[in-house]
Amino acid sequence: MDPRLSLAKEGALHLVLRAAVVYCVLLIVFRVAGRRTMAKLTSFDFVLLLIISESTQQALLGGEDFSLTGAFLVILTLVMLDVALSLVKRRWPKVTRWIDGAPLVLIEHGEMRKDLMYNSRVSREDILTTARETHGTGTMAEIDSAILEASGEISILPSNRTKD
Amino acid sequence: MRPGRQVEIDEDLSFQSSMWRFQRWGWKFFSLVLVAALAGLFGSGPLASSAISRDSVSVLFDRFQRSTAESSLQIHIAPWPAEGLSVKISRPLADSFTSIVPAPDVVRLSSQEATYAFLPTRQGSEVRFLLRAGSPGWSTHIVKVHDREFRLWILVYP
Repeated sequence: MDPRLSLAKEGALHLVLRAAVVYCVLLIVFRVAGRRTMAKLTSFDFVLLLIISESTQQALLGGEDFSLTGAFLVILTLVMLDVALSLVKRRWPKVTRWIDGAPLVLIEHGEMRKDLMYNSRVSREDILTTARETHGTGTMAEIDSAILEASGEISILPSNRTKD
Repeated sequence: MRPGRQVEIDEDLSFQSSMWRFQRWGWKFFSLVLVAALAGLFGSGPLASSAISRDSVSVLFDRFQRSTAESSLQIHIAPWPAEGLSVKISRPLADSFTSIVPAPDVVRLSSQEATYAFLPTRQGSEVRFLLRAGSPGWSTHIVKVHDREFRLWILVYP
């Protein structure tokens, strides 16, 4: 076999494997970090995200392959892994919880569930901030329910929503 | 849905507790990985640095390296041999060298090893081989300085 051909084959295989490994590692790292980590981007979070993406890019391409084909293979691998994961989640819904998380009620009928808030790393201030931003409400008394969504966002249901 | 609850949510507190436990173990594990990295388990640190000495020759190298990352192999010899210095290095390791300081006066390559010869007129007592680690995995390399043989066990991380 032409050695150049085998080298190219190995390179393409490496790109696909690298992309698969990076995909799995990022999935695990962000799952372990918890959903509050990247849910609401402060300016520093944004910078952090840029640094992570830059480091990931170097690991994906190995710092050597800057070809269009290489980039195409990496993109294709990542997209197909994402499609495969969505199929797995559809087939086994319980897997979804482990991968995406599940919603959690942090405030119910105006009562804070402090242990859940503590473990989720969501503060009273976080909830009040979201309430101000999304509903223009300024006090806890105006909040009936607060839900920490699987995405890490907080949904607020105001106390007076049934009267509107 | 919980009775009396106005929001239709599929909440599972036992799963959530398991997930938090998993995350806390994950944080501990990641912390350990970082401590290990600082100690040199992934290269460039006290755990990675290795030295083998025999008579007047010492070979210093990183036993843990990362693929494509720079590292070095140093050979100390004191005093500098009157007949000049001859270093034989197994080929896979020699192929990863990017530069040699001082530059050897003679280089001979065979399929098994590379031989670097330094003239007796050289000053100093050290030869430094800068290298970029190749394929990941464990490997044993042989470095021969005159009649002394050194076996280097190196782990290259992906």
